[in-house]
Amino acid sequence: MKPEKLMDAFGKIDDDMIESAQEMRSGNSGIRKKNQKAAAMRKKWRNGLLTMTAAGLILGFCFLVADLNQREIVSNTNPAEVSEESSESRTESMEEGGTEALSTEGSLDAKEADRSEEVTEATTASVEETGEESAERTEFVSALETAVTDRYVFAVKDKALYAESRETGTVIAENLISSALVMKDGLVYYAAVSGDGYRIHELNTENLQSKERYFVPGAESGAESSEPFCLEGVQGNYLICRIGSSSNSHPSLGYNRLYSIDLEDGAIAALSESVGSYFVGSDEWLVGAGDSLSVSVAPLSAMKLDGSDSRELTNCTAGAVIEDGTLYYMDYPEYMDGNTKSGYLICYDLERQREQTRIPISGYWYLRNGCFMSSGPDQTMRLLLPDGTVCSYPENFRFVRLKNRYFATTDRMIYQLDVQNETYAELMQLDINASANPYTFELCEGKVYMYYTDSELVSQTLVWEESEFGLDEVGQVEIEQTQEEKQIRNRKLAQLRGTYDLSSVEWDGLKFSVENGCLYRGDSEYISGNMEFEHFILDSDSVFYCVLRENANQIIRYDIKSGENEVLYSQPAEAYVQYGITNYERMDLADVTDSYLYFRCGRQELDANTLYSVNRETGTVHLLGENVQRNLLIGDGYVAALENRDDTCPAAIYLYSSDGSSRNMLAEYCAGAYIGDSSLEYLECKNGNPNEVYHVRYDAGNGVEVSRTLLSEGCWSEWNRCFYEADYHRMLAEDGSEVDLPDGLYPVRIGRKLYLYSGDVLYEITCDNGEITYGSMYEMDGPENLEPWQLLFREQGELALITGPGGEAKVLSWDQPTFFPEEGTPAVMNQSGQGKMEEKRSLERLPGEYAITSLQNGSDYYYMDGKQLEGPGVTISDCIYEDSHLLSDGVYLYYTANWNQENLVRCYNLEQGTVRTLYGVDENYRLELVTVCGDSLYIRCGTSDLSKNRLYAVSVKDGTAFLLAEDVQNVVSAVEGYAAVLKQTGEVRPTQLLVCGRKVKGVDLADSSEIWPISESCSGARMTADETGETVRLEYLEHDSRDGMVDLVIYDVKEKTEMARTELPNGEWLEWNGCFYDAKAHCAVFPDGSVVNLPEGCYPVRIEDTMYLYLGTSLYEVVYENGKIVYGEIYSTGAVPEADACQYLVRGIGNQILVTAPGGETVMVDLEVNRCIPWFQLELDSPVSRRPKCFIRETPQLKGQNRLTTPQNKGSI
Amino acid sequence: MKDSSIINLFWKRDETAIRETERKYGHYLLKIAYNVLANHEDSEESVNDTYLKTWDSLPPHRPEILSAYLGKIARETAIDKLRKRSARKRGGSEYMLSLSELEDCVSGGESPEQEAEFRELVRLINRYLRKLPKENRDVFICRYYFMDETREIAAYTGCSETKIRSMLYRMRQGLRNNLEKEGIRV
Repeated sequence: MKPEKLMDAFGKIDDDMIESAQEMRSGNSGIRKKNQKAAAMRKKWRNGLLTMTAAGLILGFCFLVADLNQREIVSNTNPAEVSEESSESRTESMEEGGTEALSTEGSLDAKEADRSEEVTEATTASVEETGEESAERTEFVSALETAVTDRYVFAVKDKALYAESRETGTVIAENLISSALVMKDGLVYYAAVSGDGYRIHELNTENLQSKERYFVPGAESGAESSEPFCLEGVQGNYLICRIGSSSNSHPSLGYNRLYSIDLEDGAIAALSESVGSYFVGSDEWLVGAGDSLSVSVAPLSAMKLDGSDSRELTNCTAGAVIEDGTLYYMDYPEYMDGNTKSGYLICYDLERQREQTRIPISGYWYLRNGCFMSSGPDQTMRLLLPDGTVCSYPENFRFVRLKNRYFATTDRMIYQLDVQNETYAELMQLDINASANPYTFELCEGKVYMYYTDSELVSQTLVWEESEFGLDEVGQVEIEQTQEEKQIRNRKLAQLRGTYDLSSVEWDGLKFSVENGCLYRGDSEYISGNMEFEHFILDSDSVFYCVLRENANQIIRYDIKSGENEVLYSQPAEAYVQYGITNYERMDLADVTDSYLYFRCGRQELDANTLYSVNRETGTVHLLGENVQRNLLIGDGYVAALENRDDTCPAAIYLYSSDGSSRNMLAEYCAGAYIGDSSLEYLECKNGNPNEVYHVRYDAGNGVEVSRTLLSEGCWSEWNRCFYEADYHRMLAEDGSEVDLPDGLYPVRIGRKLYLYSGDVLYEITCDNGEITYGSMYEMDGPENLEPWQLLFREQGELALITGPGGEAKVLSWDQPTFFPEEGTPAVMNQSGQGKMEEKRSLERLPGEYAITSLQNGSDYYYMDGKQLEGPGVTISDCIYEDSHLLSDGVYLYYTANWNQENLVRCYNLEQGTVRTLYGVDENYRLELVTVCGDSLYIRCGTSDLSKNRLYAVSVKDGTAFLLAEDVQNVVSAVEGYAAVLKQTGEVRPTQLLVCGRKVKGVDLADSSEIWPISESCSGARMTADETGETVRLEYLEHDSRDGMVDLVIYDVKEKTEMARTELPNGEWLEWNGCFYDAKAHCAVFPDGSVVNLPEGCYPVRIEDTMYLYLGTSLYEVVYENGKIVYGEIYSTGAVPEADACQYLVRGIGNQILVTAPGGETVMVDLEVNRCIPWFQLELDSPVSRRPKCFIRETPQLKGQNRLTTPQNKGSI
Repeated sequence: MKDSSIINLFWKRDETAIRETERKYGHYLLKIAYNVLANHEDSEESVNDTYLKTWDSLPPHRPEILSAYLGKIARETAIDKLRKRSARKRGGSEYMLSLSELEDCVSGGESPEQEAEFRELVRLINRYLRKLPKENRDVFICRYYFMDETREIAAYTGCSETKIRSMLYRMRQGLRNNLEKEGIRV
């Protein structure tokens, strides 16, 4: 389809959608204002914000994660429904006073109902008071990772507190215990450790003055440890902190005890010894959950901030929230016996210390980020509001909520809940590059803080202010990583292996996915429910999965062709009670072969499990191993797996026979394993030492070790069936060498081939003695928005799958590879083979050889017509030669004319329409325009065929001419009074390169040039000056007649010294549109010295220090980063598209580019206007994804000799 | 003046309709035309043609959304003009010129099958766009209907140009996938 047709179809877009877009264009859209403000503020903050590089922030990050984990009291029970009837009747009853509804609940006994009646009266009174008091009400505010005021951002790095303003950064304090900051009324509280104890300081955020507010004396050992002291938050006038010590070195303070510090008088009060880190609070009361935060239910206590009272509200709650000063919490009085799955939503008046209402709730509700959540009967999530209202809760709202108000979703949207209508309004799209980690919200002093980790694992904080429209962004804090942190990150990444389960896959029109425990085919075809784990195994014609059904775990095979389910194996699920809840052991299908099914069985997350195999023919079950990691290595007649060793890492590797007859430990400490071509390969840490790692090849069939090699120090692990070292980003090659990997590329083995992947591209590689050689390149339609290290590859059946963190998989290949765009082939040769090569070589040409015969400048069009130059409203009829041509510098059109027995060089002012004569000679001499550079027009003058010629530089300002040289073939370029000239030395190339130093105006022409030879064997050159003109740099290609190699030489023209010399790979090198280009390998030297293979069909252009690729009618700005070409701006040249891209000449003049086609038709492209005709973009789609295939032969990270070297480093110069 | 009043003027054959249209939508139409033609004179000429075409088509039409109706005419007119201009500039031959002139008096040579295919394409594009989030859809329309530059769209939305480009890229990919799924060769 032609893009024009698509463009025509866009013209038929429905009116209402056009109107909507027009609203945005006219500024009537709310999103515009909001985004603009957010962007402006973000820019403002980024300009002055900190770049945090400290390892200290790891602590902060850990704190954040730990905090998040602690706050999320996760359900580990079977979710059950809440009684909708009860909640509906409750809602109704609340309107009527609350009494009736309570009496209708059969589960309430009469006593409770009486109590409720009392409470109702009290509620009415309380509500009346609340209206007056709400303005002064104080609530608990958690400590923050980052504190933001109008002037500063406060954050901690390297255990030091920094205040960063737009202008400068200031160290406020050092030796901070953690990155927790408490902010209140323009003051920031932080805790620091000193030699004799802990101190809490108060920082005035206006004048940055700190003063000590509290001191905890401690023993030396205690003081040096930053672990036991923690600022938790602030409530009213009380700072809440927790002090604990594993060595119990503060007997007076006790262990893990919560304290409040009165900020007015500094009085400290002990609050509780058993409260963990989940708090809510209102006025004088602080409510905290018990310290058993890792379980779903815990005791709940209310403490008076001055320490005068403390009471346990329930011994079994799933969490509490405070709304308008009223405490709501879940109470599960019967949970402990393990039989009942129902509880109460309690409304509690803290001031009067008694319950107001008690609503029976069936099902298990847990608290996450201030919301009570539960799973409904149809597995959909629901939200319980404090008044008992149940709201639906969309599936993608899985991450973050802020006090029933703001909901961040997996697709990076933030919604606001309209409680009255129970609907969610779209609030904003987050412009962030978050990784798979959840975001977390905090609210403090009217500002909403959102913490998240971006895809580079950099900690980020976004700050908004609440306004009547929702949230307005006021700042962003970015915390950069140190090398050490990157190493830690890579180590973490290395541990991701196996954690990506296949939760959805789509290929060849088929799609399977697991949602809410149900397996679907396509978007809606239900296959099965009751899946205990949200993943499955896919084979070429089957989907295998596990379900828990009728108290039995079953392994089921779904036949893709027939659509039928077949139970392969079933075993009773053993019941057990945990945390008062009855559960059943779960089964996780580990792998399937033709002969055996392998599954693990255990409780909950299967951290303790047993691995079994089932003979598919006989149904016999065999126990193979215990505490086995998920990924099995299925070999020919054997199975290998890693068995966890308590909490230590690395694990042990065992070899099992599938029938359970043998179980042999291969290595006690194994950092990773995979099955290679013929043997089992694993990494053994000698005596558990992670720095002494051996690579072992083991012949499992014969039970013998084939080889054992000691690897260099580092963090080695298995990664996509390769052995990868995370600290220095390298891999172990087949030949045993350790290969440094380019940044951004990660290894993967698919079948027998090795690849490096960068996210959207897969490069086939081979490694030889530490060097990588790149082969074919494949484009992958992988999961979007993911970094390469987030992707896992695996083979499953006949498929190769690429899986993102969410478990969504894309199929890379099928029997016949359909998802590889095409069979990868090296890019250079095409159907014309050698002919093409010859064609490229014949492209060696001289600037000016493509003389301009017509010029399109915007809408103005000039062209040569016989002896006339035609333009808009102008005809110039004094041209002398039939083959006369034009040159242009964007201001003038230059042409040659004959007048009064003289041959003249004339220029036509494109803007003013005036003609001027620049230079003239007797008509017996022929004139030829060579090129125009800066203010100089270069012409050759000589005999009729110009075999003997003189080169002149003619000033375009006043026509002054300077003789530069004789017998000149071409002018390379000219800057700052210097011209680089290629001189004819015979009939064969290469030619001699000279530099002409032009002296001041007015000197006799014959003596005006200072000429010195540069090279006797040059095939191309370019000359540039820096911005100040102080340095003039000549780059040229010099052929070495002895070995035929070509050197790229950089020469300082003013200093007359060689600056650098680099040997280029063997090829046909020439200068091409300002670049050095190898016509044989179709590669070019980029400005950073990299030799880069170019996509087929694209030809290089270099204008000053910017590289472009020319293709069809578009010019793509490109840079070479991380081993690949990155595309930037696209400029539409509007040139005639019929010609091959290699036939165009492209020259830069200031902000304009002249693009000349073979016929001499030239288009001036204004880069500033950057008019890109949309359908040209459409035609090319994206150059990144649809660019022609190429392979990278060398990457700058790996090929040192391609870097420019200085003469000092090269003794021969 | 309200759109309905302007439409009534057209229906009454009152020439002030054009003046009112120009007053209310002149800049809007000029921007559309300029985005296509990148030339002020041509754009003005194109907008004038738009008024005439609107005059000729109202009645019988009575558009529900006048701005969208005018915009479509302006866009089509400008694209036609651009194609004629390109033919003139590139080919330069009288043959090409004559060919483009003849487009005025023939249907364009589209067969009924091609017409049907085009209508299907339009339907699929509309369906795809309706599935997009509003902000994304608006960005897409700004770029490929109004042909605004990405930096302009960035200014409309307050987003970065990079983000806009990345949104457009994804939407183009999505559109292509959708069309291919429906059997349309892209």
